[in-house]
Amino acid sequence: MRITEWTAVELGKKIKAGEVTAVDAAKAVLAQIRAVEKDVHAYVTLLDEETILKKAAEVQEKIEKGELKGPLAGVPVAIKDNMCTEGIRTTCSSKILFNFEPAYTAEAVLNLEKAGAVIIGKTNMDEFAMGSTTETSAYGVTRNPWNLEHVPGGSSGGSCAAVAAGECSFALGSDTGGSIRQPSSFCGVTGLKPTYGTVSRYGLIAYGSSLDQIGPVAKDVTDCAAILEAIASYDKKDSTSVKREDYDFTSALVDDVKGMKIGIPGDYLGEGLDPEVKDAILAAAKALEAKGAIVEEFDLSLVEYAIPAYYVIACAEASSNLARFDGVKYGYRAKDYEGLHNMYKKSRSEGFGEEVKRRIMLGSFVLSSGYYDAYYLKALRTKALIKQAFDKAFAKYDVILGPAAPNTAPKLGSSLSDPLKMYLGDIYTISVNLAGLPGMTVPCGKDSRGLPIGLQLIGDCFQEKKIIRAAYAFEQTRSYEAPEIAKAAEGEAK
Amino acid sequence: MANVISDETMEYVGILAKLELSKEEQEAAKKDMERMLDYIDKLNELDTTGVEPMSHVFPVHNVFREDVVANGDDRDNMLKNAPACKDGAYKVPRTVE
Repeated sequence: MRITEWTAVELGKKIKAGEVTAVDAAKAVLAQIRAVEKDVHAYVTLLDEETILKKAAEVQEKIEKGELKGPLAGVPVAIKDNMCTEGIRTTCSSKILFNFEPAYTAEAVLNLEKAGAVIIGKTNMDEFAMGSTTETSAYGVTRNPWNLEHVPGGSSGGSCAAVAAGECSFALGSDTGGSIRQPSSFCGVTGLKPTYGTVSRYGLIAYGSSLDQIGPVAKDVTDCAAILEAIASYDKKDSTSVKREDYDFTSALVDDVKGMKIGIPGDYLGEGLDPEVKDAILAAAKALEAKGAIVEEFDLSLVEYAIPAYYVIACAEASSNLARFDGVKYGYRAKDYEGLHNMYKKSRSEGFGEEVKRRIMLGSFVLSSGYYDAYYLKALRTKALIKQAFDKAFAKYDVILGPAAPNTAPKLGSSLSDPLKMYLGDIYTISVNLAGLPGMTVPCGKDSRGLPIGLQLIGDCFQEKKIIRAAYAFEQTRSYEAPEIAKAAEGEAK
Repeated sequence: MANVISDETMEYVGILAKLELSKEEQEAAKKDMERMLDYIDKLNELDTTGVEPMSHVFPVHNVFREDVVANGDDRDNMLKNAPACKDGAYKVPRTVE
């Protein structure tokens, strides 16, 4: 096997054991990028080779001196382009931030740097994380490594594609309505959205602040647990950060689900779900049942209200969060304008893409006087009911199991013409954000076209360990499969 | 019930959103918004009488800390990203005659 096929934790172990160096790892990833990036286009910005290799050499020295001991030391990582990285261009895949170089680094990324991970570049995404296909990026589409005619999903499409294609060992994504779990499903990788407040949002360019959470994207469950352990922290700089009692997520990597109560919402299996996806999900449930889990269907309720509530809340928050892009402090400023207000308007209108403008408009509308109660407060009340429905479910079940998306990856160019239809694709992921819950996607099969299918496991707040345990146990029943393109780079065999 | 948004409302939302849309863009945005609102109206099927609006999922309220400068003076670094600056300040078009 080659370096780029190893999981992050496997690679970290071999570096620690002296079998390979952090520099070898960086070189292997760079070779893979040279071979496949022109087809996949997972990155918006790649660091130059010299910088990467210099950093890798520094890390290697610290590993040898025993200063860096963690499981991710020397391992190459890709960062979604909505996380600030000091001195490294951070665009949110938007024209409005085309030249933005942050003066500071996001807390989650800092935590990774402290753990010795080596940053390779910034990954492509839907503009400001608004989208489900990575097609709304101002810097071109990312292609699905399993089939280049298909989308990788979104909005963390670049991160998931980079992991699947071996263009990094693991990546960070962010999840506001499914943006880690859905593209993980489409790209056949494992992604975890932690409980709201677990990973600091400091330095994450906000979309929907009450919903946004940073999380890991990797080849397997072990990696996700180890990465989460590295990035999770209580941070005073994020006022919604939560001080948790436990951060030892890797202790849940146990192949034992005997007696675990798993509920499948019947309302997740109804109309709109691709039959092949449904079969794969039910087969995964059977596999867990065979290992001793108690699996049953139940009625979660309110599922169809999650999407309308989400779009009101997320767009309202986005309209406020994106007010900061005004052509004054950073990024794009229009060339011709008359006076200050016209400069704001022109810079924003020329700098933002269509989907972003659509959501800012909707958000401004639902927050405007006369509509605030009818839309915004109504959505927040609905959110309270959805949370109650989950509370009820988790009084009975340890874990909720279902699909991550109603279908496998659609073809490029087939989604954006009908935004509402695209929004409906988020039906299984969105309510998890509204209720602040942890959720995880693990690959569980492929459809007849060879496109990956993802299984979603949802836990109660702070119960990451239960979903990690269930995911790990399920993962033992099948081995990780990489797309052909992940084997592209020649001459890097180890 | 189908939502109909007037041109005046769209103008007003444009002012709130600080966006200047072309005639065609505005027409498209209006249609999109009407369609989204029709869909969002589904929430009215739910009886939410007596349900408190939930802004935060955890019982976390105002989080206070001492107002102490912890990050030093980073003015020059911050200004590096500005489209225009002058004498250590952001430069904007004339606002007061």
